Amino acid sequence: MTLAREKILDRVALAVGRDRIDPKTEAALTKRLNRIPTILRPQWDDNPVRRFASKLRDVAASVDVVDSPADVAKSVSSFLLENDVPLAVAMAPDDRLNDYPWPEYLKISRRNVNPKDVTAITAAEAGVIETGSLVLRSKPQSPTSMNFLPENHIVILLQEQLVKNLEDGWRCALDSSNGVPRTVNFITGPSKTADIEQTMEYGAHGPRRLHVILLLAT
Amino acid sequence: MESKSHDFKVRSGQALKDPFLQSALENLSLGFVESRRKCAEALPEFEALRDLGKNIYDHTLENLDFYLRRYEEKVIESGGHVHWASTPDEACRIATDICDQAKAKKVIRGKSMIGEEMGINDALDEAGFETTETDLGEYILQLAEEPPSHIVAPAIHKTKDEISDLFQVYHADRGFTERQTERTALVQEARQVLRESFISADVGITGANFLIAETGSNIIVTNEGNGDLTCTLPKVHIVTAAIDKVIPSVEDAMVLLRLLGRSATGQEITAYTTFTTGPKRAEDDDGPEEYHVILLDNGRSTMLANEFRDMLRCIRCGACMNHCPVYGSVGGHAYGWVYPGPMGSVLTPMMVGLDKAVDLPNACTLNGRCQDVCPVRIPLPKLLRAHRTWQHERKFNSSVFRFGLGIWTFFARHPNLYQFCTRIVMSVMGSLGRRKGVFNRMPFAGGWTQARDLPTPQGKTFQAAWRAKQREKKQ
Repeated sequence: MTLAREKILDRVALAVGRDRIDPKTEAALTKRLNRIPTILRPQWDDNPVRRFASKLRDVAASVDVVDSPADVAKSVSSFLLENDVPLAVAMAPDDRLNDYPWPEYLKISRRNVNPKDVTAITAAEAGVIETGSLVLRSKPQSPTSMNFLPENHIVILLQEQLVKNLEDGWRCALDSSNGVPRTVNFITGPSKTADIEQTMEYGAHGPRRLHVILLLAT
Repeated sequence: MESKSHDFKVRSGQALKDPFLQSALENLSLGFVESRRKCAEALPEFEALRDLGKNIYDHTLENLDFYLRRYEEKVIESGGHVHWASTPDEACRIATDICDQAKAKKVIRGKSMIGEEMGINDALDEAGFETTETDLGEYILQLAEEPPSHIVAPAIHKTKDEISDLFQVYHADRGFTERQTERTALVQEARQVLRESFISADVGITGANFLIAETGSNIIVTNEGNGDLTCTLPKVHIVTAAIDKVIPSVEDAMVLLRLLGRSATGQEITAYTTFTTGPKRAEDDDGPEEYHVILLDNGRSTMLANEFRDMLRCIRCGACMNHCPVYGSVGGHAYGWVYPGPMGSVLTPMMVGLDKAVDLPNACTLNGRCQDVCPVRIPLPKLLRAHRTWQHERKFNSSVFRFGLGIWTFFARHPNLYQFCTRIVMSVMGSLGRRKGVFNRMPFAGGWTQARDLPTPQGKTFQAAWRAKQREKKQ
């Protein structure tokens, strides 16, 4: 369909009133793409941790704000017990999840999920205070299926990973050379649908429950 | 999808007599309209963001040649393929070719309006692929063999009972023999049935809310997470998008995302906002091996060149239809094609033919609410008026209408005669209707007086009253 390409680009060129883009315009447009703009972003005065947690709770996620790695492990256990979920989890093979004192009764598989897994635990790249969004990116240590296939998704986040706006969250998802990964997910609450008579139901296709554990800096 | 837009009057008549549709439309205006208002009020920057959103699109459209090329380069750089299609048929052929080459049997779809515009499900069916819609609303409609009636909430016209019936019939061979009547049970049944489709699919086809020239990414916004499973699990991911979906950068995308959720459903942000760039990386554990983008024109490059360019800013939030009294009365199916409401009345004639959707631009009271809420400030009433002018110039409107308008035009051009005649008509009507104070029947206006009474004119004509007032002022 190269023909269609030329035809469409010709029609577009005609519509914008130029045959080709002169080097000066090209340079200006490229500059606009690469700028760090000082454009409008939402602002607020609330306490960052409180705002982040309350934004997530507003959209039916559960949030535990904890002080120690031991409490992270405890929060996982109580979430599973409270919701009567099997004490077996698929945990992302991410080194950042190694340092928690997971209880021995918790059966942990360090791998991507399969369709039989009920619960996945992953580590986020960032938390966006503006919206209460978790930022996750695809990489071998964090396969995207983990965020969508299981019934329960537990995400662990450190206080120092909280960033202000969505734009900051995006930057946290890039790799060290600013490379863009295959997938960047901004996740804000569990899966939901209002497609039957405009009434909200949770767990449409993705996780029915989203549990976020935010570990405060010491 | 074949357009039935020429049938607007008949279809809207049917819609007005459908009690469930009427209550669903009332809920829609209570729900979406109210949550949008709250959400907009809670963000002090909202109005400024609307201006910014408009400016971003105006800039992008002025330089669409640059951004399309840059976007294509970046997709290729990230390992993806870009295909171009002038018409829906071309786009469908590209999609079925990709599925053929992938030796696919099963195809899953994430909800997209561009897919409806292309008629991609029919094309895939004809080509012999087993196609499943995965958005719950679209899935229900696929079973019911109906088109969506709202661009964000496609199945608002379906009752829970109808859905129970559909699931009972179509899920029996999947082991679900009991008829479910509770909403939660219905959602869970669909989840389990569709889960199998997700896992066994060879190709996933999604739309795109935005395409980003800076990175070659596409953005998908959902609440269900179906779009994410669609673009993660199958080995091939096809993105279908129109050429006006391209925007410059991630920064621009964030501005538009802040407008989209709030305007559509009154959400600050949807549950899932996903940026996808190219196929899976070599080291990744999941994700598709192939990433294709099909860019469809379908009349947009023509609109870019004429007075309808403003319409290309549309981000498909649905706020215009949620706030439209006409949509609120007749629902989406009356409009007869893919896009309903004010945005649909502007787009449909451009895409299916000006002569095939004559009623749509006229099914508007020009009250301006759509423009008031449009996140990117599209002057929808102005565009609908432009359609009316086009229709009149091309003589697509009815001869009765043209005759009536001709008479009015004659009088409007002869103000003295106009005033003389209105004075006579008014005094005749005034004396005829003095006793009752209203007319409940009127020659040539039966359609109007059937539903309401026409008050008897009182006092002088407006112009006479105005002149008297001016004289008073001078004295």
